[in-house]
Amino acid sequence: MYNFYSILPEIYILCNICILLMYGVFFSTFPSLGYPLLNKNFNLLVLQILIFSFLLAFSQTPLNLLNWNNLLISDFFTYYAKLIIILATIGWLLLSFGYSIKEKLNYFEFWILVLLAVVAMLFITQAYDLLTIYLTIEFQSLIFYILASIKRTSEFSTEAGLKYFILGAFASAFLLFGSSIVYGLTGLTNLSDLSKLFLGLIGNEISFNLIIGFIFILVALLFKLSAAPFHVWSPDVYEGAPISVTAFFSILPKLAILGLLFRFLLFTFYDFISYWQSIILIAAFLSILIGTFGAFAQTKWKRFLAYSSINHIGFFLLALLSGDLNSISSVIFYGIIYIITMSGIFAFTVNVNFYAYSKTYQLRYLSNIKGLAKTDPFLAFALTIILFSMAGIPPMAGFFAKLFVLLAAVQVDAFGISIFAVIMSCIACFYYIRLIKNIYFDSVINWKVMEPMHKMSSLILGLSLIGILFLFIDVEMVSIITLLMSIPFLH
Amino acid sequence: MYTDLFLYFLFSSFALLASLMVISLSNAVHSVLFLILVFCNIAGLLLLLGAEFLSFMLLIVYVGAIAVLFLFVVMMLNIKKTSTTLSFFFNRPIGIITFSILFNQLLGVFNDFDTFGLKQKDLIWISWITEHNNLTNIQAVGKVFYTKYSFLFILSGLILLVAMLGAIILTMHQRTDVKKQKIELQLNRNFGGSVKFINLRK
Repeated sequence: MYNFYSILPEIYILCNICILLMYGVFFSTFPSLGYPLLNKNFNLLVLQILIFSFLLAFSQTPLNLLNWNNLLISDFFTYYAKLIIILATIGWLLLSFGYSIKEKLNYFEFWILVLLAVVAMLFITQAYDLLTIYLTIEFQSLIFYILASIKRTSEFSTEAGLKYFILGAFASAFLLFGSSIVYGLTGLTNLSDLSKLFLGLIGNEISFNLIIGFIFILVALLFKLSAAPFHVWSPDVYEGAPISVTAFFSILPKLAILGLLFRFLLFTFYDFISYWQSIILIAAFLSILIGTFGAFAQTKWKRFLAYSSINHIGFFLLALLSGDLNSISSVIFYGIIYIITMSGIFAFTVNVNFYAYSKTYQLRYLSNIKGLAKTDPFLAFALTIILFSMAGIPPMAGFFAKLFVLLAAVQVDAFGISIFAVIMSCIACFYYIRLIKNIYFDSVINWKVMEPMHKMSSLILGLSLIGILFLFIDVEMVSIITLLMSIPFLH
Repeated sequence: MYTDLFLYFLFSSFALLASLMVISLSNAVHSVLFLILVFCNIAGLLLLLGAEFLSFMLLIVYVGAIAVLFLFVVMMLNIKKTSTTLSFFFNRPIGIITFSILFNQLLGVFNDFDTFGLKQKDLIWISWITEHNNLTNIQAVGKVFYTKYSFLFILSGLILLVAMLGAIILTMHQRTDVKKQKIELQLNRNFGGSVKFINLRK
């Protein structure tokens, strides 16, 4: 019975997907109605479904049990991660509402794919078996390949989809290969069985092949997270995909994959810590380095945001190094702040349109925002706050996120990488503040006329702004949740 | 009996050789054919391991569907072929091998069977109890698949749904301005209506 209870929101969404699919197929090909476009209709329906599934997930009791024959787990982390993911999806839906109508993304399947992606992410947070991990990640990635190339008339979009598909298939093959090596050597696929098997192995000889299998899986997961040596796909895919899809890629899946990485590294392979610590260290170092210096060279918003998210991934990994309660909680804290900040900045990027006679242009280049302070002072102020938060200026939420991560790293005497991260974040400050200089102090010759933002997305921008500005009044509001979420990962 | 070992080496060495051929041949069609050979050999290896269900699935899915699809795609791509002429002497070793295999079969029949007395020399014992209680591979797979691992089963169903959705979204164009052949208009045309004379103002 608990099998069904624990995945009730997913079951609800899946049933609705089936109904929506039938509805969409019948009505979009209905001659007497004139082949109606179901875009707006579907958007609202999906919003309703997500709100109901949020209520379903919220009213559940947080259970601590393994279900579906130990293939899934439900604990405090999955309970809160589900809530966060569904909430973030609702936010994404609101901010992309105006865009999809304006850009005529008239495929009702788009919204069904979004719902399926949400289901996939919810399952990833609960995965507790190598088989489940592989299948759920493959499920999610397949949806993402389609989403990246959804604008099939655009060359960039198809290129992004193809690139993502080829590289992602490679990473999936790595994941499968690593899992098969681990299974071949141990005969186990369940994460807790594996963790029990590895329990006493610390001082002893660990089979070299096992480590190779482990590294294969780790590489695949880092690829899905777009951490640095495996980040090459992310700027290209972010740039090519339609911008609402870019927002989807950068806001949502990080938390789910991060949870999986915790479960994998800190629970199952905790006894291999001496091996994976150095790998994670290198990945964190390179992520911060490439994320910082890569963002310098960019002139386009999407690529800029991609590199900025690589930089944030570096901070996630930095706190993973020690693997104790504090550090996990600080990573989840950072993740939540990251989601809020990214929602804010994408609410800006997706919805700002400039009007030049007879046509409107999307925000594309970083230099487009010159003189924004004159044309729209409130929007300029909002963007400034968000950029300050991303740079880590004290009263904003981004500062606390970085602070907790660095504190956790310093507590395990990781001084070198901490100092490096601080220096890099100072350099990163420079380009965030350069944007603010563009907004306020650059003189422009051609004044731009801006279209008003869509109401829904300005709502999201405002909410994220409130979150960023006033978090410092009560940091515990978030940190208690993150602490609760990090408890299940301890032995 | 070293038959198992012999067959193992045979299949694995053929698989290795064929996979080397797949990546070294210049003609794409030939390399796909060698890919099919690799699949067949792997199916043989799986049979040796006793996983007959998996091995036949491999044959049906990979050889029957995917490799043939590859073959079609490769043929449609119109890759320039480097022509090779097959000489009679090239064919002969294959013929000899085939002949020797068939001849060996025939010999085996004569060895085991008393042709003149029309009876079998060695009796083959079958334990009917184990045959009766034995779970076949497919039964065993099905028993865990629909009970213990039902979640994975449903999940793979969802993945297939996504694949179907993706194929439809990315390839189906329902546009009105596509230029299509209209057969009824073409059939209606005649000599009289095809050329028009118009008077231009001077």
